[in-house]
Amino acid sequence: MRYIKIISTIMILISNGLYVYGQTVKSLMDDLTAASRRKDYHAVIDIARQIIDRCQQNYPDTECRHTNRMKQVYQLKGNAEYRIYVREENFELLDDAINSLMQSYELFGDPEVSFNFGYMQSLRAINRGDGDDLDGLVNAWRGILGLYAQDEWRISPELIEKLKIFMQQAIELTIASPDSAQTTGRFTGFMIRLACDLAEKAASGRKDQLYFSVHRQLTIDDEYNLRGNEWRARGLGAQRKFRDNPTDSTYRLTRSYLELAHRYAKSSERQAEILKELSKVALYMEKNGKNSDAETELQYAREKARQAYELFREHRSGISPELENEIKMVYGTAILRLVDNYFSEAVSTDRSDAYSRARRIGEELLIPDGNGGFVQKFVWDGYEELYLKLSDVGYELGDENLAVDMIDKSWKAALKNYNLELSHLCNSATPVIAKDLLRFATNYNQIAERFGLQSILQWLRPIIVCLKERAFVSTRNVGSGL
Amino acid sequence: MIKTCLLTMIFMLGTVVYGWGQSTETRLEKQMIEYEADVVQAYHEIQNYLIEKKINQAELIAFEKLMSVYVERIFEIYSTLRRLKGFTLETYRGVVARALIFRALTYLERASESPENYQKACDDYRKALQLYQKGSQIPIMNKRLPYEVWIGPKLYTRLVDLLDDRGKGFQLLDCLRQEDMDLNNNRETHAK
Repeated sequence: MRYIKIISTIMILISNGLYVYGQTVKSLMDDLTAASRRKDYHAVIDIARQIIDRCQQNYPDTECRHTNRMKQVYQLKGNAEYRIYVREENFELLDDAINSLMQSYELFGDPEVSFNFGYMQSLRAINRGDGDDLDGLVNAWRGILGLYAQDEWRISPELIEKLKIFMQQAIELTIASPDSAQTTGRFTGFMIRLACDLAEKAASGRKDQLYFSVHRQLTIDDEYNLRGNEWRARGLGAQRKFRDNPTDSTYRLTRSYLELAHRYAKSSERQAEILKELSKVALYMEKNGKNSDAETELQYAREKARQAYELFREHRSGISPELENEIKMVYGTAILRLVDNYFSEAVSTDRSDAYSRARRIGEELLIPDGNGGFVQKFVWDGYEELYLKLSDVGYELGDENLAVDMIDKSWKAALKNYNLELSHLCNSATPVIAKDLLRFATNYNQIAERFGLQSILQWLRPIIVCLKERAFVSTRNVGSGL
Repeated sequence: MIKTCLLTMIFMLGTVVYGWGQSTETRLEKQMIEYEADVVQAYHEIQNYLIEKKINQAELIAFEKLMSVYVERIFEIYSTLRRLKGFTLETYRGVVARALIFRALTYLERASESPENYQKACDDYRKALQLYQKGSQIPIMNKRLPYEVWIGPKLYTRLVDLLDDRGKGFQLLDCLRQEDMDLNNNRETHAK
């Protein structure tokens, strides 16, 4: 009984295969058209593949010789692949769709097909952020010129729509590219101007006229910031090389490219972004550079980060939350590292002068909290460290108010950072967290001892014992190989 | 009476058909010239770009391909006109030849890094010369251009000046010399 079932299944499969094989290409083409009408895109692809396979055999059907029909097969296949790509966002299907339509175009030279696969190529380049891939624009333009000629050099409303799509893609390709591309935007700008030239011949509705004249002007005035984009791309490219090899020359090159990008930046968001990058580059040089002058680099980083922050304050709505966070972090880090730099200089120079400078720099980020103390202007990733450093400065300067205010804020910030409450500290803190919190608690203890703050010492003592215990457990476990 | 009416109708029909033919030709010719203007515009853009010494390979290649799109279109119109009239006017051949020379010049910009480009430039140059040789008194290279070509601060009115000043003239002459040498070699091989 079991064998009969297996045999019958095999028979069905073979008969299906034979049925498909037995079908003529003509009937397959009819099936293809029917599937396309039903919008059954998977079936369209499947049947089209069968037709292509059959036509690639040694003795293909006569239907395969009709380029007009084969062009249709490739076109329907390409369109179906594109439809499924839109639904599933499967980029392999987009590649397949482009290849199918290219084959269709090679067979028949239909300008509509050229425009379509050109559009898809640009779409792929935009999605990949690959602004160097300009083939899509060339192919789409070939399609547009072909359609224009087909329509006896008249501009139809459909062609106007295609020109708009073309221009939009040219713009997106230029704007989306900066991270990866090194284009000057000259080609895309030129293509937009050509498209405007063509569209303006039609002189259709007032709205269209306005659209094209505005885009032409924007291209001429470089309002898409093509030049700025180019310098940004070069700057970011140089920055990658600089990170691999932080020498004076790579540093200078990166800085000069980014400074040019800043000069040509058209939007406040772009300006703020480039300033932030300049600050990051200087911070990296200070830490990893072979011949860096710490104070100079840090002062530069601080100045650029400050400018970025000022821009953010002035144009808050135009700056994305991600960029805002990055600006705050870079500014905070620059100040922290500069404070630390002056603090450590105290060993070799005039101590009081060095601490005072460290304090002055740190105060740049402080504003009154309304309770006689100070609070940082914004919260950034690592802001508790700046409070901690400033508490050290206060301690060294003998400024009780500053030291206590800062260490208290630092302690609270650290707890908040780990999402811990004082009452559950000993139970909730993991060994790693306990070890980190111990730095804050020890500093707090030191300050409290120096300024004789008995009440603080009293509540702090059990916390330190508990944190030490937890941190010690972790060390002991690691030591015993657990 | 009927005879006169018939004759008048035939005459009118003939005039309409002739007029239609004329307008198609005029339109095609106009379009050809417009496309040539686009080719020159693209060439300008490339030259400005090279003067600034900000060479980006992807963009240069894209410009080459764009030039090819236009040359294809111009050739299409040229073939249609030849089919319509049965012969071609010197003006039509001039448009095609100039477009080919501009494309050859564009190919030459990347000839050092891509030997294929040198070959393509040679092919275009040869085709342009062959096209224009038929029945024209002044060679295309020495003929005054119907428009001005400004590159940086310099004005060019003949293709030959453009080629020589851009240092491309010898490169293109070399193609023809090479072709002659190949022909001689072939003849010698056959003679042996």
